[in-house]
Amino acid sequence: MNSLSLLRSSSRVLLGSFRNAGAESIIAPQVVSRRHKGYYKSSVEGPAEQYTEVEKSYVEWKFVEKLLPPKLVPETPSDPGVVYPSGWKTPNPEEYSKLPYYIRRTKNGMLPVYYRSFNRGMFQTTRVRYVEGNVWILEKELGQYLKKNFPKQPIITHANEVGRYVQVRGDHEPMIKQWLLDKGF
Amino acid sequence: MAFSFRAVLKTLTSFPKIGTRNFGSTFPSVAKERSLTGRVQNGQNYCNTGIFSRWGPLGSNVPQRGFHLLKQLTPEVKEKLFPLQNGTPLVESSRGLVQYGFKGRRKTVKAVVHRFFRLDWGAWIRPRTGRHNKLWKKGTKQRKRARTHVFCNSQQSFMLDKMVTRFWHRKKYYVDDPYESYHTRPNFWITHRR
Amino acid sequence: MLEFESDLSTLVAIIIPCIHSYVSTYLEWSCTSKQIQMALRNGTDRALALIRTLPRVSAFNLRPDPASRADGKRPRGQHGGRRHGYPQKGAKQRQTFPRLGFENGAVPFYLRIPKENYYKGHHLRRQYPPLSLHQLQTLIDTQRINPSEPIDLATICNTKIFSFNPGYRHFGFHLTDDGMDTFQAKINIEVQWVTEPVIAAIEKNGGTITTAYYDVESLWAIRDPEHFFQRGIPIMKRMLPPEDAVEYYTDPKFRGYLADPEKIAEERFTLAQKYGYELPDLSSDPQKELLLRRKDPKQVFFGLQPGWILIPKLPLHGMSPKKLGSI
Repeated sequence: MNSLSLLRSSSRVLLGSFRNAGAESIIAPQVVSRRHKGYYKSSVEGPAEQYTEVEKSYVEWKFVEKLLPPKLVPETPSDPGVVYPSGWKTPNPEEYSKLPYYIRRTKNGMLPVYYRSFNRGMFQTTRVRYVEGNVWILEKELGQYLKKNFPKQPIITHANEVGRYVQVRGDHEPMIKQWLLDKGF
Repeated sequence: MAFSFRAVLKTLTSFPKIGTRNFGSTFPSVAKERSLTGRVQNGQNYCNTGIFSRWGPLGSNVPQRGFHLLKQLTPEVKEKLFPLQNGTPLVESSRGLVQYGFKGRRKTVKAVVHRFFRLDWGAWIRPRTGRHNKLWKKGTKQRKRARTHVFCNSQQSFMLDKMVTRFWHRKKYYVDDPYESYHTRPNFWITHRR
Repeated sequence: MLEFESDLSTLVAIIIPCIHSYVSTYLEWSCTSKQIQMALRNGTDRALALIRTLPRVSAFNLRPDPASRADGKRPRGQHGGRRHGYPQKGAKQRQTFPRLGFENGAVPFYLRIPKENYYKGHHLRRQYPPLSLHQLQTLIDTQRINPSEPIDLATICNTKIFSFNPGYRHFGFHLTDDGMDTFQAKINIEVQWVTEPVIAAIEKNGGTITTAYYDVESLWAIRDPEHFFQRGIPIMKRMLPPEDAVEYYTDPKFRGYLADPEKIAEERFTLAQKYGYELPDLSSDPQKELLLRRKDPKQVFFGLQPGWILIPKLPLHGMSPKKLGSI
C-alpha cells in the first residue's frame, strides 16, 4: 500500500526519480510473445479480446526494491584498525592522531593515492590527496621513506598546501599506500 | 486504445522516430490499464504530450514534413489518433539539426585490420614479408624464421593507430585468448600499467 | 586544530588574486611621488607581510599573464593577408596532403605485409570482462555487496563500481582467480564465466556458484534494473544460449545453469576430492534456502517473472525523466 500512497503524491514524477514516482502495481498478463526483428519492434499477435485479464499484485514489490541501487554510497565499517580478508583495513585513530597531518579516506573507503601517466607514458606521478594539517611534514617524511627504499632513484616530491596534496614523481602507488596503512590512515 | 492504430501508423513512414513502440505497450490490456490509472487520475493525456513534444510545442509554425500523409487520413482515424484536437492534427513534425553524420568521421583502413594485430599495451604485430615466397631455396632455419610474427616499430605503430578507429583500440575481454599473455608488458616502465 | 588548518588554506586561496592587484597598484604609485611613497610604505609592507604567509609561488600555482598570449585572429589585409602564412603553391597551399601511409608511389608498408586476418570472426566472439575474487571480497568487506542475498549481475552492477557494455559484446562477468587464497566469503553467486579453481575457492567456504547465460536484451535490462523499470515495458524472457555456448552452460563441471542438479552435486564432491578440502554439507546448513536459490532459465530478475510489467505512476514511454521534465 505504500506504493499507492506514493502514487497520489503528484507532480514529482516529472522531475524524474523512479523511487518518488513509485510503481503502482505489478501486473501479470499471460501473453505469448515472439521475437521478430527486435524484441520491442515485434508486432502484436492478435486483437485485444484474445488476451486474458490482467492481475494486480503488490506482494512482489519487495523484489523490485532489492533491484534498485542505493541512493547513497553505503558506509564502510567503522571499527578502528580491523584488517578484512581482502586486505582492506579500516583507519585507526589511535595511530594517526599522533601525527601532524591527516589523510581522509575517499567515499569508497579507499586511500586517496592516485597514479597518473601522461605524455604517452613518459611522465608518471603519484599524488596523495585530501591531506589535512601540515603537508610539508608529510612531504618530507614521504620523500625520506621512498629515498630509503629506492636509494639510486631520484625522488622528486612536491607539496601544494592550497590544493592539499603531496605529489611524487614516478609510480610509487602501492608503496605509498602500504606506508599510509602502516601509519593508521 | 493506442494499440489499434498500429497499422495506421506504419503507413506514416516519413515521420521521424514515431515508432509504434511509443504508442504504448505491445500488450493492449496493459495499455488499457495504464490509461485508467495514470492518465485519468491526473486529468491529462500524458501519452500524447510525451510523444509529440519532441517536435515542438502545439501550434507552432515549424515547417512540416509528412504532413500531406496526415491529410489523407479519414476523419475517423484522425479523431482516434488525435483525440484532444477535435480534428486538427496534433503532430508538428520538424527535423532538427543533425549533429552527427557519417561524413566527418574517419573510417578504419580495412587493409590494416586484415594484416596487423594490436596488443593492449599499444604495439602492433605482423607476419613477416615473403613468408610464402621461394621456400625451395630457403633452409630450415630461414623457413622457421619466416613463419614468426614480429613487432612493428614505434613509428609504424602510431601510424597504424591513426588508421583505425577507437573500436580497435578498445580492450577485448575474450576468454581463452591465445594472445592473453602478450597483451600486457609489465617489465617496461612506460607500458607496465596499461 | 586540523579543521582550522584546512579553513586557513581555503581562505588564503581566495585572498591571492586580491593581494596581487593591491601590490601592483601600490608599487606604481610609489614611483611617481616621494610623498605618496612614504605614506604608502606601510601599506606595501603590510601587503608584503601578508604575502609571506601565503604559499610559495611555484609553477604549480601560477597562471600565465592574460596579455602574454596573442589572440587567434587570422591575419587580414596588410599583415599577412595575402596567403595567410601558407606558401604560394603546392600541397601546403591547397591542403592536398598525401593520404596517411602513402610512400610516394611505392607499395606502402601497410599493404606490403601479407594478409593474416588476426581479427577473423571478432564480431561473433563473446567477451566477458573480468571480476576477480579479490575485488569481490573487497566489495563484500566494504559493504557494497550483501552476502546474505544471492549475487547476480544486477547486484554487481548496482555497486556502480563494476559494469559492462552489451553494445561491446560483453556478455557478463568472468570471475577470475586473483585473490583465490584469501577469499573467505560464503555466497551464492551467479556469473557468466568461471574456471575450475575459482569454483573450488567458493565451494570450499560453503558457498555455491552457477554460470548462466543472458542474451543481449536481458543484459541491457539487468545491467541497470532501475532504468529498465522506468521504461514501463514488460519484463522479457531470457533466451537460451546460442549453439556454441550450450556445451558450457550444460556442463556440471562449470556449474552450468542448464546442467542436471544431481550431476552438479557429484561434481562438487569430485572437485573437493581433487583440491583436497572437506565439502561443507549444504543440507544441514542454516543458510540452505539462500544457497540453493536459483533463477528459472527464462527468468531475468530474482522474484519477477517474464511478462510482468511494473507500472510507474505515469506512462513514461521510454523517455528519460529529464525530457519529461521539460514538457
